[in-house]
Amino acid sequence: MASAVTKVMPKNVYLVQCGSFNPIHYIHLRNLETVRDYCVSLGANVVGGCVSPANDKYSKSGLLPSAQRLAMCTLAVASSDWTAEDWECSQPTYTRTLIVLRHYRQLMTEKLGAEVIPLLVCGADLLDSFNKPGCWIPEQMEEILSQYGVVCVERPGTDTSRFATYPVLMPHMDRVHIIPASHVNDLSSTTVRNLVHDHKSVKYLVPDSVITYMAQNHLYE
Amino acid sequence: MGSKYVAANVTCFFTLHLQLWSLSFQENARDYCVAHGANVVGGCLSPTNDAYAKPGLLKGKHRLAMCKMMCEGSKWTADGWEMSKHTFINTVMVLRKLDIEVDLNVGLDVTPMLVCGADLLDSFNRPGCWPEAHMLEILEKFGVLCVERPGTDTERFWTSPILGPHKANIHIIHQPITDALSSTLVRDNVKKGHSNKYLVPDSVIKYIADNNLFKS
Repeated sequence: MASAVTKVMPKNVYLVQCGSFNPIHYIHLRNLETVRDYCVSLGANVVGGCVSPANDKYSKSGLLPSAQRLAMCTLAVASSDWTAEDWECSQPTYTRTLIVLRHYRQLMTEKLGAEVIPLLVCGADLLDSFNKPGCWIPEQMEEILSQYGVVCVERPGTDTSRFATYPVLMPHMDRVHIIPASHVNDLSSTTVRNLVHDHKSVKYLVPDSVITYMAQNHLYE
Repeated sequence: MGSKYVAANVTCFFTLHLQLWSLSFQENARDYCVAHGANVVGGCLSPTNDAYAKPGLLKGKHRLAMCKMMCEGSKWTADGWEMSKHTFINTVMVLRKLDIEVDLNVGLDVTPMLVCGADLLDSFNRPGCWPEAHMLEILEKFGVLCVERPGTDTERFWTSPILGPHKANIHIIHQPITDALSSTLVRDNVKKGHSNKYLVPDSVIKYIADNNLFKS
């Protein structure tokens, strides 16, 4: 998507991919890779990144307990530089995204000894939710968009041109990065769950270790 | 449906489809066969001979090595027979060889079936692309498990003079996901120094790097 706005890319960034991860799949992992390549191309030093499974209190029906979702995330990232972080899901209450970002900003800045800005890695549905009344606390949206940054990886069927017209996003398009997915692929956790339920193969859609874990724990059957 | 052996045609593919997702074709094909009562005894990837002169085709030894890596941890195997010959081998010959070999190995009457993407089956409609006798043999004697691909409308097959009459032996496999991952992307990523992680297995990424493949 061509943009007249010059993008703001902090010097040191840490990628935070929030989500249910019910279960995690290869496109989630792929997104981190795509976003890292993008940030590096804009001159950033990507100090690291994580998947941060949502708290159980984020009530979505069919959401497995966070311990299991976290275990699968941990298995999935094992062969990479990414981590699966439990800070968000181990909080006693539902934790707002901004609070998660603030946590990692402090943690990573201390670790590096220089300022690290977390970037929220997300899909188009999250950016759409910025435009839905009541979904976000306005001050928190403002802080995410002005102090942090959002990198949205496009998915098939999403027309991303609308984002630049959302009132809350318009002034902050310099920190809203919309990047194409490396290829058209509509893999989703819903598809994975349905295939497992139907006793169909999910090999090559999720890592083998996650397949084993799901089978051993009879998940999604 | 009987006993089946699903042979992935990588004759036209392999330069192009190095990725993890091609093996998901095999998985989809197996699920389909099992759902239709077949006993799937196994399956393979068969990389094409070097004599298949396609620009940018890597040496067979590299392609076979990467095929083997891709198959690790699965029930599929990489078959080096086609690649080992000194001449281009037609797909139908690979199926004939497997027909004899698998029956002997398994002790059952097993039918090899060709697994391919819809774009490859579409090439049957291109005059001069395939010898007619070969197409007939593949369609009548073996059968095709054709995985849908973005960009090919498989409904058109039934009005094709070549494919239409053999509808019963052409099984269209719907992929649970739409995936247009291309080898061009994988090669471009190598050239640009971008990540191919999760597109191809780690072992293949390492092999590409160790052997300096796709750099130019």
